[in-house]
Amino acid sequence: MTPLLWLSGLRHLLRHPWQMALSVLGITIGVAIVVAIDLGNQSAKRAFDLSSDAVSGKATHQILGGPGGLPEEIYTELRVELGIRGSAPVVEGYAYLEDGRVLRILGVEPFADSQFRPYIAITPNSGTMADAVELLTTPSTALMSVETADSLGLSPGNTIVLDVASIERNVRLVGLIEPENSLSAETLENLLITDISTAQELTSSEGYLSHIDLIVPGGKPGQLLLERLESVLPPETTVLTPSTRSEAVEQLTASFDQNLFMISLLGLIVGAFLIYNAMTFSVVQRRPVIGSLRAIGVTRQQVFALVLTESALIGLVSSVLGVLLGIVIGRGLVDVITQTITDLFYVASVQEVSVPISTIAKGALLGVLATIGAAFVPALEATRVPAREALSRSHLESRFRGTVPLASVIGLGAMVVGCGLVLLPVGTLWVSFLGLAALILGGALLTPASVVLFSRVLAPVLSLMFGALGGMAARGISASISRTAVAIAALSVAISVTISIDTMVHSFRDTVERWLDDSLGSDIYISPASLRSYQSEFELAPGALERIRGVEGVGSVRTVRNSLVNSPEGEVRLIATDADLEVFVERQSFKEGDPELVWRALQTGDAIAVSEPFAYRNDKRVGSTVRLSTADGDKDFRVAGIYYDYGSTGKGRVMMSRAAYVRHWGDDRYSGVAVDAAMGVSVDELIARLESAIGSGRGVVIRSNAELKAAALEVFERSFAITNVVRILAVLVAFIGVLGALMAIQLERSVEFGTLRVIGFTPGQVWLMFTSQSGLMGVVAGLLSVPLGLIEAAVLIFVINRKAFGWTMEMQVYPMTLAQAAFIAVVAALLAGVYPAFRMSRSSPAGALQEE
Amino acid sequence: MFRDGLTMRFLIMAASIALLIAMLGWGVYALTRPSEAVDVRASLSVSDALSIGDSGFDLVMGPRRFEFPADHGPHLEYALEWWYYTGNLETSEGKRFGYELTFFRRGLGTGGAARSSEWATEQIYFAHFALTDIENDEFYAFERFSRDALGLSGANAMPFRVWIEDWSTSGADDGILPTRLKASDEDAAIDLVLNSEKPIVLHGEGGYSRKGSGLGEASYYYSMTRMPTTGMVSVEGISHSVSGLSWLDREWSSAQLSDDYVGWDWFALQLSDGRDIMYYQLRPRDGVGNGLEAGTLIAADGSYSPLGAADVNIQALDHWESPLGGTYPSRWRFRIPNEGLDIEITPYISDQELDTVVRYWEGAVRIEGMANGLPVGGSGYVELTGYAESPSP
Repeated sequence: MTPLLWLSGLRHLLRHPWQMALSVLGITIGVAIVVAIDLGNQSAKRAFDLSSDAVSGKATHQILGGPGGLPEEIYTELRVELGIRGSAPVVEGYAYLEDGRVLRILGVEPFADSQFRPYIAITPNSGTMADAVELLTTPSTALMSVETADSLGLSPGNTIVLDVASIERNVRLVGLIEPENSLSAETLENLLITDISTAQELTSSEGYLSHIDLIVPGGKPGQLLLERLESVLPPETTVLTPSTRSEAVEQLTASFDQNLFMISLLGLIVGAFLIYNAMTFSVVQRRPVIGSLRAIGVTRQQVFALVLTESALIGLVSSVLGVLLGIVIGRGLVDVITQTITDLFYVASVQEVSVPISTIAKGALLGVLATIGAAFVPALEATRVPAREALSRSHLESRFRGTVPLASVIGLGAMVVGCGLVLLPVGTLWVSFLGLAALILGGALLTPASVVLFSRVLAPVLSLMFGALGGMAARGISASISRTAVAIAALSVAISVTISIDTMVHSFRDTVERWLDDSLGSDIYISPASLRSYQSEFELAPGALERIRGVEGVGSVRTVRNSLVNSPEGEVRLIATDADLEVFVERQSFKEGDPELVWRALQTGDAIAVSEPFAYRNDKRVGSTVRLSTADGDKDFRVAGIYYDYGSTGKGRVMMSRAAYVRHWGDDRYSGVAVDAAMGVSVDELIARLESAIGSGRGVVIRSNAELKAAALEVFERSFAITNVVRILAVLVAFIGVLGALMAIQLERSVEFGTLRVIGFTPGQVWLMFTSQSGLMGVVAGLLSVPLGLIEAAVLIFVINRKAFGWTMEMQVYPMTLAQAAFIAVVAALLAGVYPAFRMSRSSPAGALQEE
Repeated sequence: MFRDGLTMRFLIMAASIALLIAMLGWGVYALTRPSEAVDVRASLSVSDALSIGDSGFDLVMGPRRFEFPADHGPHLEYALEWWYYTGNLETSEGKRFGYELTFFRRGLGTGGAARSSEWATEQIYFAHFALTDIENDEFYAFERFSRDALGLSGANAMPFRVWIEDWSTSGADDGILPTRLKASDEDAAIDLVLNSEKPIVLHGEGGYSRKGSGLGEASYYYSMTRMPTTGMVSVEGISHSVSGLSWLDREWSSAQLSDDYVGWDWFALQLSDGRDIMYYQLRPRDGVGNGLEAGTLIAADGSYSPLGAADVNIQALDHWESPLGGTYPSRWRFRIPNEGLDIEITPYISDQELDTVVRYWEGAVRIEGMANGLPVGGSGYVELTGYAESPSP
């Protein structure tokens, strides 16, 4: 391609700088959303991986306990009776600093540990002996890496205040670990290394281990060792490799990650529409130039290449800016995403945000591809410009109108395909997302037909209301449909995205709130404090239940035990309830199965109820069986019912009667107690009495029904914080895009308005007509976005969320959401009209005409 | 090449985009960034870190009354203590082995805070297990550490048992004898039963053994010097039925080796005429000043008498270079003129160095020579410390 051709393209872009700038900004923000969210996810994952690496060290396997935890005596048996030397006990936990930063407590037995985690090797004569002596003999002492201590402004001898499961603990730093290199420095980030005794005391887990790390040799000896372990260990324990464990944790977040990624793609789709709009417009504007170029011998291929290259350049510039912006936003989002992951899945703590190449590549590639993809049709369009002569505008418009039926047919086709993909019962989230994209595309392609329809309907109405001027404004939209349709489509797609996300979040919140109202029937809830918000596998101190029962004013008491049991397929969350029939039927809503029959089945001890996500993930129905590893070995349990449960993410959970649970696992501890106040006792008063009886703030949280519900909803709100950021950015992209598109259209129509001035319209009339036309386009876009947005919302609610989390939600349409969407559309359109209208009304008619 | 106005507009536009992006980014960052302040409670400095010497342990200040079997057990009021077994064994075919199995107890403090975790302890144990395969010129050595918690390691007087995980020495229900020794690791294992031909020997002044001139620079020290031993030795997975003689040294104290000394040479000799000799020399630092040496001669009937520097003459005849660094004496002429004893002590194999946290040489030795004009033989163990190039801190 000749430089001259390039210059012609570049010159065009420079002559229309605002148009270019706004489309650049559209893609920039679209890419930024993708990069920012990816960055947040990757950082959380990387932090988790690194700290898992640091924590699991060289372990090839880990012994995990049953629901009652792993009794520490097992370690003695391993070492003394069996002489298994490649083993080390570990007690883990988490501690909050006052600023909300989370430290991972790693309690080790230093002498056993050197083979696993060489960075904490301690021997009686090594240089760290003085530290080691303190670590071993003085309670509440810890080591941390030089970097971590620096970042906290600590030096050895300092005491730090920690919140471990809501109990305030003072821990003294007695030594520093000098990491060998930057990677080990990163793996030691946020690690608080203590002697195993201190870790037990800090986490109130005396008598129990988090796991026993093993180094199992490869081949036959390793096999023999594992078999020997199998025969010795209690049946409820399992031996897993650390990678299986961390993979299992990461699998939990896979859907969450994908969901976020898809939502971020929605932002990019909006950006792509803007590029499509801008490029189409620029091709239309340049028809005379392209015609002349063709006349002097430029081939169709060269024209095609010119337009595509232009768009690729725009894409590249936008993507680079987008990646940069994304990194900045991502640094901010990391905390939000990390908090959500901590609420829902695992405890992640990110200090360093490193930017992986993959994230940059993903963002840049998506940006460029979206731009080129969006410019493909306009580029094709450009090649159709005949040589020598530009077609007259009216011809162009009528030809475009001729393609409207075709576009509508294709649009309908895309929608049908989209529906098909979305409704496909099998397939991954990606298939559903592809279907959603097809639906959006279909909606966009139906826009021209809708615009024509609207203007036909509106013209007479507006004529009636505002006279000739009104009718003209309405007809003007369909007269220049080649430009208006694209702009309206872009606006309506952008607005529809915000409608769908808003509707989804609201529907979800409503569903959860209703579920909370149903299931939280007791007056007061008492649970051990936990980092993980309102889910807990911790247990109440022994005797707490008796003390609670003994408090005056306590009516009925129900307990719950949340635990993690093993199954041949991995860990399963279990909830054991002692609710009586009446309470059970009242509070538990079932998707499948009759509550009363389910309750009776649970009492037999052979049946369980499974949560909806569990049933969905594991493909269980009423009558299926679930195999769990009880203390007496593996046992099959019949599924008696499937209950709604929005309180657990990931793989879901199973429910059984407390009696059955205690019988099968021998674990008689409690994770939570629900208390009803006796007649005539006020809840606040009872809470105060309970607090003085069992001590609030000592690792126990006592909450009223309303407080617990508020806490649960707060977690909910937090987990949708990112979604809201995306929504706001999508609106911003839409707004900017529409501003650019409408401005360009109206500027381009100066001639038209010049003519109006010449034939006697006052500047005020021109201004009025101009502005009302912009507003009308906004109204049309707003109206179109509503059905499209609701369809998208339905897909998000019924398909994508279901596939991602396994939840059934009721869709709720909120008039406010729709009104807000329409408002954004109209305001954007009106604002877009302000500057051209101002310019127009001030320009002299002759000047406007001269520009032709 | 562009019209000026156009260039200008382009610049303004670029600047506006940049500004907008920057504002947007900053806004999101400002809304979500974490706060940085962390509360730090300043307190003690690290120089307060404990040193083992001043942790409230009793010092060995003078002779004491020994009471058995209680004294076979641990003495937690002292910082350091060991149960030191060495021995020379032989199969019926004449295959010779030497072994060392030592349990050390180290107290890290006395009477600390009450703790709720069972793992909390102030006692740690470590052990060395070495096996010398004389015929194949192979030496195996292993080291273990553990804490006195949850039964992982520990020591009891009644019933007698000292153990680290699956390495142990244990007595019968009613006393220390017969003692069973068990230890195994990769490629080497022992399972032995020990008895004693002679009563307990109290070294120094009735078991009070001076190790320096400073306050508390002494230990309580007793031995069982002639312990007929039978059992199994396994090397590289092959078991051998063996018998021979073992030696138990028991010592406890709260003092580490005085700074005046760089290390010691220690001899435990079992002569074929029924006599046993314990003798140690603390070597002065840089060869300056006087060493400290002492020992005990135990007669065949179990009676014993002290030995001093005036009684014993030791001359190193050869040296051995450790591949890990350091030169050890390796063969000695050992004379006690008053007893008419003139013997040569030769390591069965040269390399019996333990590459443990503190590197030292401890090996089986052969004895050949004359006693009162008659040929005398025997075996024993020699311990050499402070020769390794990187001395212990």
